[in-house]
Amino acid sequence: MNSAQLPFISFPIILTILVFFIMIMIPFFIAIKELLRPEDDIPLYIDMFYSKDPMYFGNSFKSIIQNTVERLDSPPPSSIIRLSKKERVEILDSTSLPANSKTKHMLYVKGSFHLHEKAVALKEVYVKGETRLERKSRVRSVYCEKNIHLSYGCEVFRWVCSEKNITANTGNRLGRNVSCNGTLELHSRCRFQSAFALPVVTGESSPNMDFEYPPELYAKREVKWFIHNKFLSINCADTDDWDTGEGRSKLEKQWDFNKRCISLYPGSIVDYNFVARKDLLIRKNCTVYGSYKSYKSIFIEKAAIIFGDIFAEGDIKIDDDCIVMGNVFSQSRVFIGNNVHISKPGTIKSIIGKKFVELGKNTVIYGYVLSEGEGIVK
Amino acid sequence: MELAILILRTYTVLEILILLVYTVRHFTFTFNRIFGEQRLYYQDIVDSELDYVTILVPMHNEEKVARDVLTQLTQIDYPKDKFEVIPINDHSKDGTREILDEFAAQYPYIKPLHRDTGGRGKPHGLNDAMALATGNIMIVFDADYIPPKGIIRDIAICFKDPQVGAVMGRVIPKNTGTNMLTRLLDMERSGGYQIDQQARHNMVLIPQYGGTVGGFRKDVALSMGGFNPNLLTEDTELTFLLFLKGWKVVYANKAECYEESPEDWGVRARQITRWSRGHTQVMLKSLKPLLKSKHLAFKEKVDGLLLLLIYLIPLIMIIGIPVSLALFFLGEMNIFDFIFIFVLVAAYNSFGNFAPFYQIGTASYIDGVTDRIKLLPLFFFCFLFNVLYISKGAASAFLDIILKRNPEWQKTARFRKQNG
Repeated sequence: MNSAQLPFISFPIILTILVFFIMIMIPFFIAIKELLRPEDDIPLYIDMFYSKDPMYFGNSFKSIIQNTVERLDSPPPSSIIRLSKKERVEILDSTSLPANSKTKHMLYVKGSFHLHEKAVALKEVYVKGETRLERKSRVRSVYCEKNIHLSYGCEVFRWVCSEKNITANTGNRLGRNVSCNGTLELHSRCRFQSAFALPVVTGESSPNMDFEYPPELYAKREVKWFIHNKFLSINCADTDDWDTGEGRSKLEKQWDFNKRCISLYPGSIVDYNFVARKDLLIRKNCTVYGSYKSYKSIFIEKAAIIFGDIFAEGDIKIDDDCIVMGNVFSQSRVFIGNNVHISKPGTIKSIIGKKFVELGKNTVIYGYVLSEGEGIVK
Repeated sequence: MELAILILRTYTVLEILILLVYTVRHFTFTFNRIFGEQRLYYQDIVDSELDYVTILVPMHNEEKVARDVLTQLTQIDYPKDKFEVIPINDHSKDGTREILDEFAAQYPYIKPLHRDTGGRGKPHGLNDAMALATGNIMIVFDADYIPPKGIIRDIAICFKDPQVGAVMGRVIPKNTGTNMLTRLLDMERSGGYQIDQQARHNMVLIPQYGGTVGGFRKDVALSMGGFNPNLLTEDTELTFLLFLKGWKVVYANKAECYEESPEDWGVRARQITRWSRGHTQVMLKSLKPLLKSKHLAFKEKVDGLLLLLIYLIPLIMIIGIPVSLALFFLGEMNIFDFIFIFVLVAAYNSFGNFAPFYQIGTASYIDGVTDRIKLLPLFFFCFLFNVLYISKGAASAFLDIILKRNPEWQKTARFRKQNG
């Protein structure tokens, strides 16, 4: 028997096997090439120095300015500094840009800065004195060591930051971040993505915030979650008691379970953490010494006082005259009513609504407001 | 004989169905990351009232890496009066003790725990350290980790959510470029965290606490009896105990930390065998309580079930090979004549085999590192390797029960070159 009689070693078969083998191996050739001559073998990047800073944009820009312009003994009127790329910076004394004018360079202003009506600053501006933006003027970003005043309808493309106070009049667009160390006054129809100040105010209001969370209530939290029914779980030291008749009757006096939502009766006082799997309604004048969460939405009626944090997968709506001493965090939207107070002087808390945050009038927030979508003042 | 054939055929059909379920799971997670809505983690919360935290660093003969992790922990941005570090020197015979004492002398918030007596292993060490800890929030790093400046705040802040019992951050290998193994492990890690964990977080399922780059509530852990020293994966056990008691685990994709991944196939084999053995131990313990739990939603139970069974899949596949061969030589493979089964097999062979590869490739894409996707074909070898050692680990867990033996904790070897 010669080889020509063996069909399995005939040329077409050999060719077929060879082609099949090559086809199978092609992806491996590419992989082996990447292994031997790597083009992408460095570790994924982690910023080892990252630290959460609600005034990050302004502070980072200030640090660049301090390490560049302010290190020059006698800076020339125009210098080149490096941000993400090389930038020309003009160094000026007090400056006033006339109406409808446009500047294309970064500005370092040793005195005050005045942007007149419909003027445009296309690059960042660093101001050592006061800053004033007139009606419908536009600026990329501003850092100011003193106060900033924005008139009606101004637009900030990126961020605005002050070491003192910021006043933003009606209809301002404030970019990705507006922040200051002092008071941030936001008038109606101001839009922003994040805001930080101590405090952020949407009006003038000075309520009595002179009350404290009773410290013994911290100790009352327990390591167990008690399931009252499939819609409400409770966490506190008396968990074992909830199963008794007394515990159950106490719960029934506080909670109303209906088809649409579970609600806390008006004026109830509760001293535990709780989690709801339905919509949750905190009726008017309730006081909650604890944190709570809903897998749906949370509605808090007028004049309720919440000492803990509020978390929801759905919307959070806080009605007028409420006081919340903790954080407000929603994976959806947050609506804050009029005369609402979040946190207190000396304490920083946050309002985070993933898709949207709306602030009512005369609202005072000591801390941070953030939305991946948009924040707006009513 | 007919009964034997029926058993073999039933096994084959069940194996195919199980693999299909996992295929759907892989694709669901992958598509969720590409097209689904991404839930926020809590790192954006700014809060001046931070909890006191205790940072635990278990160490056994860690002189190669101890200095690095402690140096990093001296540079974190958490308020100095709000944390302590307890490095747990667990029967070290090298210079670990001296390094820890040197740091303790310099930094008052570093308080080493030297364990020279008592049981060895991470669970023992964590239990002893919890007894000493001042804080209620425990954050754990393995000794080969390099925590960034802001990670403690990012992890601790999630405990503001009253239902969170534990949090898991993301592990990123530092020694990616060392050899083929480290490059593949880097991609495998990406798939596991960037897709698997984040998708579970998005879908409110069961993200897993991984025992390092994560934290938990001390009082809750203690109320459950602390960590069981007879289990090899105390982290998986904690995950399930928490969910069974009404707590949640959340995943923090932005709480990233470098680790050193194994550079040697032998070390990797031991590591993955241990994981598989420990995970199977937890599966045997938690399966029934999981299905009966009143604290879990239906979808959490399904995810928990699939998570618990995952280390059994390679064993099921390995057993499936002789079963298929037996059916083939007995001429009984005609089970595939059923159109339904044929469609399932065809679907699995078209997409299922590649589901984990899609997941890993998608993770690299999301991470913005696309050239390394060229290495995907090499995962074929990794797959064979994993099947072998995961099966070994799972089988050992069953033998542990039959032979009533307690497995011993084995530390993963370090590869870092010492400074200086």
